[in-house]
Amino acid sequence: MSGRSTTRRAGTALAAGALLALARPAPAQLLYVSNEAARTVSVVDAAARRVVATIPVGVRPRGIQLSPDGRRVYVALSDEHPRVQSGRDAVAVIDAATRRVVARYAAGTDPEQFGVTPDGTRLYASNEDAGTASVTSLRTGRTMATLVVGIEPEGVAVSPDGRWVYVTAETSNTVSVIDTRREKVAASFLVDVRPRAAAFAPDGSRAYVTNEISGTLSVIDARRHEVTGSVELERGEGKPVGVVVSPDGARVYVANGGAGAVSVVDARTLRVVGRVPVGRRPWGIALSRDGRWLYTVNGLSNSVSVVDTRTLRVVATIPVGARPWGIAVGR
Amino acid sequence: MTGETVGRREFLRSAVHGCAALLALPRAPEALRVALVTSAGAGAASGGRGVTLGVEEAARTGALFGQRIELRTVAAGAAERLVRAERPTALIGGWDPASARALGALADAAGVLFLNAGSPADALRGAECRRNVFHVEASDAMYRDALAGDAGGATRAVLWHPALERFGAAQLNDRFRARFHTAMDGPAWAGWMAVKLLWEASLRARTTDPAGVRAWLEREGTQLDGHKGWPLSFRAWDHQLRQPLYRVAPAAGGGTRLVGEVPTRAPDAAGSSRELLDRLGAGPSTSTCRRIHGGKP
Repeated sequence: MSGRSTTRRAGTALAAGALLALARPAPAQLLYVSNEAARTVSVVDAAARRVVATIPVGVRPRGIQLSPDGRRVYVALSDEHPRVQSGRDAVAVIDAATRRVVARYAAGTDPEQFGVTPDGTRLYASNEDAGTASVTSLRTGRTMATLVVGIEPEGVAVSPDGRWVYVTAETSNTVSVIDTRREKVAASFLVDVRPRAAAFAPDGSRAYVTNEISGTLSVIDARRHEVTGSVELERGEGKPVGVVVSPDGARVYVANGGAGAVSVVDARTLRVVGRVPVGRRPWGIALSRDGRWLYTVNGLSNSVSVVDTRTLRVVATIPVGARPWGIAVGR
Repeated sequence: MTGETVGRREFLRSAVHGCAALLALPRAPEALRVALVTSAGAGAASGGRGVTLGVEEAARTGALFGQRIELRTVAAGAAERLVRAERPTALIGGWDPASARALGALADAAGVLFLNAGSPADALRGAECRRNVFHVEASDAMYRDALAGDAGGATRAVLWHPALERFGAAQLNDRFRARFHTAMDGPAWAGWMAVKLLWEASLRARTTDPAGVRAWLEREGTQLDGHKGWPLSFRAWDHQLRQPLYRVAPAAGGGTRLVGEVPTRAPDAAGSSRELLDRLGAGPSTSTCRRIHGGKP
């Protein structure tokens, strides 16, 4: 997509978004979507269901997260040379108000996914080709530690109390548990085959890990750091990647990239209780703050699907940039 | 290992371990020992590099769990002496049919495993199949089936290609190239995969005993990842790794270019991954292997 068409579309969308904002008193809920091929971040008005701004980031963006206060958007950027750390490998800091990149922090080579501690002071990133996790201070922008984890690390999840960080590794089929008080790997355990993303339950008692090749969801006792079960999704053939837990902890939503569908898992019975077809190759997944709306990022459809979690139906499909990857929900 | 008679050697070893436990002797966790067996054959050098990368990566993972892996490298002629002296869990090699045959016989006789990473000979999976032998290299029959319908003749089927990208293939190709400054080919992948699956079996089954590792590899639910995007496993009837292959054609500047993957379609309600992959090579009814039962009567 050319820069010109992006600008024009964003401009039109901005105007439309402004009109809608005038019509409604409540501030719009915003979604931030990283577009891997377009090298941009789309800002989506969730209520208006359209892109209201497009922020260029220069290189390939993947992982995307909000600061706990909602004022900053962090985006992991990689250059085209995964084994070499360059100035372009970074976590970009976007000011949510001005929608501009205001800083770039080093986060090791080829940062892909990351998590931010609940107090907003530290960022843990997986460095895919180095087999490490980097700890970056969000006060100074400096790398505080580099920890050896499994091979080809990918998913990162921070426990709700900020004490533990889980880092999955796709080649070694492992999850490494970082103790954030000591900045050390405190434990490691094996999950199913090719673990991708991890998510904690809101009360911190459990974590869930998707396994792309096994087509399963690992259930983990997050106090003992032990696998307690495995849930088969899509007959094992769905290639699950993204995972998110509802605010009440009752449901786990998994984006099956291969199947183009979301699996809805009842957290109590660990049974699949629903299936929602979305766009092609959904990887990124997120929930609105209240858990009412579920968003999937469809990498091969260049869109975001909006799912009503009460009816488990897609209520809107929002076009975003080329090859969208991750999503963060604004405050 | 349920339903299997405990061999005398295993019985003696468990008795020794039992005594050690009684005396509360500190015992370091046993390392997984694998032996790379070099021989003639076009893939030997490349396969050896794959084994080396596999061992280095296993050691990295092992550090997370306090587990060790040790690699010995021997010529085919010295394999028997090494097996007697050190009884490694597994041998990896078979870069030519003669050594693959000999190592299979040695593995069965000595109660160790042999991972055939080099020979596609159908006979080794058929009439000459062995309980302690697992084939990471695809069979000639699989390569033939992967080219079925291709009338041109210029297309070939390969086990791996350096241009593969998805499901961690790009990362594996990158790691191999960074380590050896050359592209990962089929034998290199097979060597790497052989170590990876042995290591994973050992970690998950919590054993370095060849029979214990074999039981895990033969288990119905076992799934392996070779960065091919499909869950891989060994066929119960002949211990052949079920896996996709890649069709390649001569490239303009020399070498080959990727043309496609076989199976060509994704699993769906009409066919699971396993069913699609089993369309390549000998099936349970066409296999001539009679020495492996894979846990079935």
